Amino acid sequence: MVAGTSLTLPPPPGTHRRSIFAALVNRALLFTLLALALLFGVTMWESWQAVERSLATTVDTDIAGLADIYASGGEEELLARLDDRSLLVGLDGRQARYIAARSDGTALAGNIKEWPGLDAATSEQGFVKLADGAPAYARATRLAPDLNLLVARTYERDWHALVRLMAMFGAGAAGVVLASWALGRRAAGTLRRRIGTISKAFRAAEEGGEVELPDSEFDDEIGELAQLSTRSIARSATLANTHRHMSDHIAHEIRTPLTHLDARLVNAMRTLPEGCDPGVLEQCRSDIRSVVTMLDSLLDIASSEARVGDITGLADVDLSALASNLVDLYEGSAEEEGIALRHFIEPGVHLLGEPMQLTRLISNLLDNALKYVPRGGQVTLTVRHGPVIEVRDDGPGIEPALRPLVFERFRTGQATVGKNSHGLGLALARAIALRHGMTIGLVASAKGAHFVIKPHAMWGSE
Amino acid sequence: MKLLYIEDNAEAAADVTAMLARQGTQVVWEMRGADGLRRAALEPFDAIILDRMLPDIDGLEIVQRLRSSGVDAPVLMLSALGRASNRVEGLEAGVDDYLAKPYEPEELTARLKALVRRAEGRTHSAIIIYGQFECHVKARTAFRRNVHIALSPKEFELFRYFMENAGETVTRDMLLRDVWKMNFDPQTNVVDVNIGRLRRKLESGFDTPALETIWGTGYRLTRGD
Repeated sequence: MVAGTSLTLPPPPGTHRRSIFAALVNRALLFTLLALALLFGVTMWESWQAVERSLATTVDTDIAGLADIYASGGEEELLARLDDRSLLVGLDGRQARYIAARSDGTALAGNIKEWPGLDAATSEQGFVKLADGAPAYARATRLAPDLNLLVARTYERDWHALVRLMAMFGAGAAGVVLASWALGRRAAGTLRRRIGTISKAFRAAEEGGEVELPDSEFDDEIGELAQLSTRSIARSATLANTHRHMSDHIAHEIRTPLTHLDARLVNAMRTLPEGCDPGVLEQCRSDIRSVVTMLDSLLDIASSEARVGDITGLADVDLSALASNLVDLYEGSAEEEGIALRHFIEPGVHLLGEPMQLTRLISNLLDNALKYVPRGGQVTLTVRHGPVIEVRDDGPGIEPALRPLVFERFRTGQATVGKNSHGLGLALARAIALRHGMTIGLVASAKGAHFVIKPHAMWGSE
Repeated sequence: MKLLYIEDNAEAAADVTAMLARQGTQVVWEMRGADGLRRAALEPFDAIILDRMLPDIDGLEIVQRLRSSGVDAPVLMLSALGRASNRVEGLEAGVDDYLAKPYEPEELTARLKALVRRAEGRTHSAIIIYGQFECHVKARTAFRRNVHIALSPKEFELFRYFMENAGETVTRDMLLRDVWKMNFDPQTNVVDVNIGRLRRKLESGFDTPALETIWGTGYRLTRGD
């Protein structure tokens, strides 16, 4: 519904959908998990390689010894030794397994019933599954054209040791991750609380409350931030108060003598001798009002400019209702002047603002248009979602030389001669727009003046 | 009518006191906020006129203290701070009306009378009758000498406001504030034009005026007789 936004209220404390601290903890945890997984993989791989190398060395040593026996004692001696060795279990817990067989696979001796799938001709070695289902590491070799020998070692104990290592590693890793999570969460909570205190102070300052920042006492980065924030908030508050007091005193000190002067003029008019024209005195009173109006406009401009970005005192405003109310007020004037006041007001246009200032903004633009558009002309007020406010007329428009300066104070053109204008209406409109997070622009138009007010972000996006 | 006026500027106080005394109003003047608070607690007043920038206590704080101490007399803040934002602050602080200096004497009188009327709790029935005029509040219709007058919704609100303040001066500021909910003067003749349109409708077909203009101040509904 809303294409752009003017000013918005910050979310209530603690309602952020995203927390930078939670994200940091999550990222650190993810990194820890990945690092542990990599370390686990490398460790397991290396351990398994060591087991394999150890098995290969054991098997190779054994097969070399048996080859020597065959060379020195012949087949009979070899078969006898194989049967002896088949009964032995090594100190390393690995069971020695043998088979001597003919080329056709007929077993001659050993504790393996069937020849596993290793090629004796190429002295193939590797992991095999024996006939009884036991996994083993084996090497085959051909001792004679019709005599093959295979030596194997089972590795259940190595495997169990590896599984224990995996379990220990896993438990350790889980402990590290849990500890990291707990510590990270605690740290994130502390940081969030401390940053939250600073945010709370800024909120309190925006709402005009007292600012307390206990974190200023900490000698760390957040402590420094808290100190700087305290100073900044105090400085802003002082500036705002000074500006306000200054404005009030200027208004008071100028209005008070003018009030006395006005009262004297009223008394003078009351006691004026019969037949005297009170016109001059009336003009003096009118001039007093003119000065007061100009003073108020200048102070309003200064006040609005000083409060740009400040959301204190702003509330949800139904801009559609406000604009309709103004149309009601101005329709009669327009009709009397022979000007058609057209309006296109989308219902339900809301924004965060000060109703009175927004009323003044639109009324200044309507006043301006009705002042300069000749009889038979047309003024159009448009309010649409965005929010966007447009006041367009088909009057004489703004002189080209004045267009870039039209929102500056005391800028008036030839058309204002005799119109009792101080040249502050558009400057005030600009200040009020800025106060509400919007920009006012005088856009190109074939005829007349066309003012558009919309959020900063929407300029250039359409 | 008896009023309390809390104002630190002697010249301003003298002007207001003299002006109201000419109309038969008794004004009790206090120069300091604290004295004004004490006086308001001791004596009953029909209304209180209060300056905003007093040397000892801020006018807005005085209003809050008056209300918290149970003083319910209507308060009109008469202040040199006359910007729309100042008026809004005053009304939000609890003052019943806000008039900026310099002011038209008639405007001050009209505002005070309206405040006192409101404080006296004069409620209006569903039909308000004044002279030749009738305002049927619920039906939102207007009559003059039993002749129906067709009014737009805003014109009816204006007419009703005049009927509720029948016979009294209604200022432009009062109309802007109560009918159009605006706390500033748009500096154009929009109010006068709207009154002119209402006037034409109320007077169409009749010989006597319905609304009289109080120069520089506002308007007053006549009885139409």
